[in-house]
Amino acid sequence: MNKEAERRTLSHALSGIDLRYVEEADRFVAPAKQQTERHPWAFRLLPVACVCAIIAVGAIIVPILKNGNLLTPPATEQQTVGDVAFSGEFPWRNAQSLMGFGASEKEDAAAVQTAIERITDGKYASYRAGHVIDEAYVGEKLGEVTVQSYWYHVWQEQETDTVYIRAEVYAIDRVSPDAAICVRYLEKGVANTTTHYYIYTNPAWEGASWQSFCTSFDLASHLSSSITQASVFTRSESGEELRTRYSVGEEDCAQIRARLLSFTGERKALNTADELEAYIADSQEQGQLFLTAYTVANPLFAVQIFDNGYLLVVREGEAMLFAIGRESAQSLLLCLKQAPIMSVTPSDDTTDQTRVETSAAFRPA
Amino acid sequence: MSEWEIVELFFARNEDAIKQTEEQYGSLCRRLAFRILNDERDAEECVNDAYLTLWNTIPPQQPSSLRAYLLRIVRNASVTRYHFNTAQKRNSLYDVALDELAEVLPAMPEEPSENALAEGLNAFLESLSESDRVMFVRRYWYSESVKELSECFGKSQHYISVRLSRMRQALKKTLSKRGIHL
Repeated sequence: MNKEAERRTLSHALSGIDLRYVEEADRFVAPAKQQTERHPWAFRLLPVACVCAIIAVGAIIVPILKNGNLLTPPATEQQTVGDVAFSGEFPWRNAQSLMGFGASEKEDAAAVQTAIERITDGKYASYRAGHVIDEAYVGEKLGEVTVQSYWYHVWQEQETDTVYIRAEVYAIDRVSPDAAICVRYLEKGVANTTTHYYIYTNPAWEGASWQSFCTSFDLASHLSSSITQASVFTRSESGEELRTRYSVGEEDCAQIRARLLSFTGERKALNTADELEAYIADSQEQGQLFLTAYTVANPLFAVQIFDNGYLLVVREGEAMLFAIGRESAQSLLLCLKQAPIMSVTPSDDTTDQTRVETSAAFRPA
Repeated sequence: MSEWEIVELFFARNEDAIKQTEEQYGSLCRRLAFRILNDERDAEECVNDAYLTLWNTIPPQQPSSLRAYLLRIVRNASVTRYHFNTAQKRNSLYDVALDELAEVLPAMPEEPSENALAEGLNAFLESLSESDRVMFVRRYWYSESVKELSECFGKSQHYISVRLSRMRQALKKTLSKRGIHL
């Protein structure tokens, strides 16, 4: 076995260590911390250290006593995140991985094991399980289905603890059942509740236009007002690709969101990566946004805008291309480029290893 | 805010869950990711990936320890990134830890299954005393340096190195007994 394979095997095997040992190590406090061994010279320096310590303490205490107040420690800088940025590279040349044709589940997986629920019967059998949705969005009851529930061990590619449970299917308010539905489980599976409503989305939605996409998934209600990450990839005449990341504020987000919802354009058939390449071949600039809408994907989906007039949606490992027109695409890119720049870096060379940042990456195909 | 309260926020689909997770465990996660990747930006992205995974998996999952569950996700994301982008350059603490451990797997003609190896590791860990087990996991799972372990355990670096070396030899024997041929 070569060195690289050895490292990989060890890495993955270490990831399989029982979680209780990880927890134990994290919480461990040495019983009685012993002093590390002292060297003789340390004892010789002890009196000098004592004198230094007295001087140092005096230098701190005296001013405090003089001023009659205690020193206030400086406020520590608290790091918080408003919008969480997620990574992902989608340069032009990675169309194949982008469309899910080349992505490897095993390599992409960030979880060792994950709970899977899958409808086994009826017209919703191909839908993908997703997130909990607020009860306020739940519409009329559409029927009952059987759901297969099991643990999937990603690296071992094994399914365990499989059970079959019954579930009620409901429409989501103002969302077409052809696009997404929600489900309430009537029994416990491996990791579900019987009190929440879980979204199931249709990865093979067949709408014909961007407007019908917005309507079917009710993006006006469900598209999050924040944009998780925004970048523009630029291809120079010399062939160099640069990636500019933008810090999109609240106002810019609102503008971009409004523009996205106002676009119109027919959907282009997309069966192979080559077809996509042909559509976007003459584009020089590509904007990339990560958006959240639970009805569309689970939950994050990527929207890419090509300056030659195309909009590409990548969700659940599936890609859909819409011809929104050159003017619309460029206006959105312009809007995006008005946000403050975070960084400009060469676009990474990820020819064979692009990661598709959708939840599909954590689920078996 | 307690772990359980943060898990409840995830169940309520409240975005504060991410914020609270970051406030409580952000620096811990970044330290772990950085030890593996030796690159701040990569580490940051892996931690953010881990938050997305938390959001994606809770619910339905209800981890008994959010902290350990999150750390495992961060580690897995970091290891995936490590193999993804550092095939040639070797300069993180994780490289050193992996190379040390690889000593117990010399010249294997075929790649043992990760599953069998993981089971062997778990059986080995079960057989150790608590402090040895913690030392081993901190070195090879958290990729802590010998110096950090020395500070944690209040022992000299030499003592830690010798202890780890003996544990690696013991691991080698355990794996041999389980049919993982060396």
